[in-house]
Amino acid sequence: MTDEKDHKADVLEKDGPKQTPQELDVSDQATPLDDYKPVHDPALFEAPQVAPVFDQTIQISPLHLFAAERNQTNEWVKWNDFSCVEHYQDLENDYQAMRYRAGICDISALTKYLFTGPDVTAALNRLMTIDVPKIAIGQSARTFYCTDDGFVIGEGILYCLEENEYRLTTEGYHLDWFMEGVELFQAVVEDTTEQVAGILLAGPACCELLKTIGLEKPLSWSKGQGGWIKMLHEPVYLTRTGSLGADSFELWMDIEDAPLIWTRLLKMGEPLGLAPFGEGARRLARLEAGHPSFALDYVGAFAPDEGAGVVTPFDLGLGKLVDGEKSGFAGKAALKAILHRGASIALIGIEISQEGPVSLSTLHANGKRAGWVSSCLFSPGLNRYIALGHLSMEALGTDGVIEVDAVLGEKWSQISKRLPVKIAEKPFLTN
Amino acid sequence: MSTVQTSDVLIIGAGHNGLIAAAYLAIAGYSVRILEGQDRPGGAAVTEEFAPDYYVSTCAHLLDGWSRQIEKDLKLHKLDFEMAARTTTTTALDRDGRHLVLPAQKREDIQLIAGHSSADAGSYPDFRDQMDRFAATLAPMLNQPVPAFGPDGDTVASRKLASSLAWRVQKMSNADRHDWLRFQGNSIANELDRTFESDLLKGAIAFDATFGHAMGASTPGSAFALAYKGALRHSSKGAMANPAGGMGAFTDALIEASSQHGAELQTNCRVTKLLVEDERISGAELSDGTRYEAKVVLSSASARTTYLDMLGPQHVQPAMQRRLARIRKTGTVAKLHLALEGLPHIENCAEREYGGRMIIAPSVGHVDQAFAACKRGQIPDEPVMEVFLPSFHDYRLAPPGHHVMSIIVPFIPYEVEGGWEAQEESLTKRIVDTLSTYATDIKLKIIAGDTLTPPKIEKQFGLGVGGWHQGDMTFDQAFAFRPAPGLAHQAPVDGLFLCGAAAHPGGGMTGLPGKLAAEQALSFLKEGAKDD
Repeated sequence: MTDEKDHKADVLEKDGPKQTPQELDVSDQATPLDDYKPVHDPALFEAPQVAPVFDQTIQISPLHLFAAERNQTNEWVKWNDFSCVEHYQDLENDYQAMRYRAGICDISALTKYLFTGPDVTAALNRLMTIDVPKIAIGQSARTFYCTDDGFVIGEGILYCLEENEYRLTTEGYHLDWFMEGVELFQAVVEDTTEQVAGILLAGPACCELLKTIGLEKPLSWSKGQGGWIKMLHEPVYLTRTGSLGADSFELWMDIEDAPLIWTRLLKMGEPLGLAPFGEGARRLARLEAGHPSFALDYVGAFAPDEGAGVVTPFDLGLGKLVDGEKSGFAGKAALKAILHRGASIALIGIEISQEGPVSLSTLHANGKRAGWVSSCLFSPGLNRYIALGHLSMEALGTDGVIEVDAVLGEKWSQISKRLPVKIAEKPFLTN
Repeated sequence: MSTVQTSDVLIIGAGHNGLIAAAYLAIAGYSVRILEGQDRPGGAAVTEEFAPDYYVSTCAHLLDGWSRQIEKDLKLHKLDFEMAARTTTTTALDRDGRHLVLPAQKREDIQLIAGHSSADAGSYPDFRDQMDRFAATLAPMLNQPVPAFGPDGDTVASRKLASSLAWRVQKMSNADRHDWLRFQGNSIANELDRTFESDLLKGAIAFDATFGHAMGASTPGSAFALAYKGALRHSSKGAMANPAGGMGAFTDALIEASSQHGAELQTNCRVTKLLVEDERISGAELSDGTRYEAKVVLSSASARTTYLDMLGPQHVQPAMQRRLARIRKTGTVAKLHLALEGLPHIENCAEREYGGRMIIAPSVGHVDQAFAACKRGQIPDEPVMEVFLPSFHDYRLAPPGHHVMSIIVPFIPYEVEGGWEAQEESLTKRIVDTLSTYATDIKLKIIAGDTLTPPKIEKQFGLGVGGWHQGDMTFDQAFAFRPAPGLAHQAPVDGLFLCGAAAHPGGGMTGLPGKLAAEQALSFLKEGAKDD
């Protein structure tokens, strides 16, 4: 009985008048695509056939087909449960575009939570390690969120979009934790990962690109600042964030608008040398900036392998993101205790000048095991291998020799060696 | 706008535990203010007129496990407070008039058991003595604060407590220790089946073990519930007492005890918010904005209400909030009050039985059936119940020659099939029908009656979901796990204490949660004075 009724309701909805989204004022933003009139294919508005949860092992980004079109290597990688392009041409070319010209990258895979409600600031302030009320409208800040014991559940960028409206872009899925965290406040959290697409523009020429498409104002923004703009008549939230510092912008938009904007940006950027870059280059940029990555350099406290690899913000050298002064937040007592006695692990940058593939594992201090290495990648910009090491504070304090177990060479000529470690300043590469 | 009043101690809720805590702190010389949300003090310890000239203790009706120590400390005997009866016996009613009196201490009581089964008469003394020893093992833990375990807990104190319990278990005889290890996780039905054969005896003990809890006789852990109940009675050294004038008189005496030393009681003051300064409690705010400042706040509200609603989630860590939200709290108890035109006739009942507590639970099966019906949201076909005639020893409660009967019926669901509005009458009818098979002339003597379903109890006494204990009293919610792991005698902010049934050692009329909270508040106040 009820099924039939539901079905009827569905039919009614489909046949009823379509609500057109409120038209935005576009007169001041003349773009070459003004005469573009979208053709509405009714099939687009039908609910997709949802595969059973356990059949779906990987999700695809709304830009998947457009990324696939440009993906010359057909190399895909799983990032945050999404299928992402690893290299569009090869690492070298992707990196060149991103670092020295302009690059565009699909970051729709990031988890995007939207927090709204009259008490949302207080609710978020209780969950995040930073002081949330300090984030003004149009600003953003990097933050951790931790368990009661002070272990990192995840990290992300928290944007204040409007009054009482925040977006958190993060990795991993922690919706149930957030829902429980806000349930006693007048606030709600929703997972908008599948409704919001993200595009990252990086490289020195991307300011030029924004100028070309008529966006002057964002160029005067400071790092972390953002605001609503219009692109192809559609609202886009543009922020000056990303792994490459001031030279990178992130665009957040409705998934339906993403393909058009992606295509448009690629076309407009062609004269500037804009090229898409994949996960490989993005990961490398993040490492060059000295940022530890979720699931690569550490695991969240809710990872199935509980206890191994979990860290506190201090273990990642990011104690500055913990505001010990603000009133109660998740993990405050534990984190304050660490603040008092100091972290036990230091995150160090390691540089290795070696030929050929290098993979690093255990760190030794005076012959004793003293830590481990997580990410290790070759940086074309520095022409050497860079890595992030987790070294015990004790070993760091002593003057002893710090060495690392390394496997060098190609598969057929691999040798294991213990190399002396040169501790490098982070970030490895400044823009 | 808002007015501010200051005192040393603020107590939220004027139930018996809150009043006991208030009296202790007032006697110690601190200024105490008690804020009661309802229009009358007493909480679940009140005497009310349910029909013209018939008075009854409308919620709790017996001081089960009432601590004599508290009575002495508060000098209640100087306040015209007296018990109408001190040691009320428990009688397991039998349809044929072959009642049992429990706990059977005297030779003639054992003889009554022998009337049902001679083997049981032989094994009963051993069982009774072993229960006493188990109770003695647990009892010391009920009279002292239990430190919280876990990373935030007081590790030294919790280790001390664990080792003292281990020491007491070590001290048991080999046979006892063996039995205890089996007993504490077992169901009372299993334990009774291996010991006794008489249905009535087993039914009565099973009723006692599960009384007031959301568990059947076959529920694992119900044996522990019996030991815990025994420990509560043991540590307070009182069996059951019936205050003259009902529970209301008891409440009045407690109010007198605290107000003599300057404690102020204010009714109709619903606290909506606790005030915090520098992670230390600083007072409370009422719904109308009136502020009360205090160094210490004791709350007899439930843990969830105190920490999440009054204190606010910003002071509670997310995982702690989850633990608080998951405290099991079920209301499975209904009450029936009857005004009777004369003493009902129960065959073979003497003065001692009439004046005591009577149990109707013919077998373990009856207890389990009633619990099973309750789980399904139904009224049991043959409810089990505890019947008490307070007017038997206390003539003031009813007109001369008349009586009031107070019946507590466990295993009545909070949400019943068909809704309580439609089902209330059938509940009353089933209780009276069951009762009339024992007291044959009861239907002829009823003048008036009043049924309190679990939702009514919730509304009238402010007990969430009609649960009397602010959290079921099972092994997983006792000791260091009461009210929730990591929160035993430790609040999210300094200076805040739980003093009601939510705190160790839990619900009942023992008064111990109030006393323990007062002791902790005292040491906190003294430490604070030293720092200043």
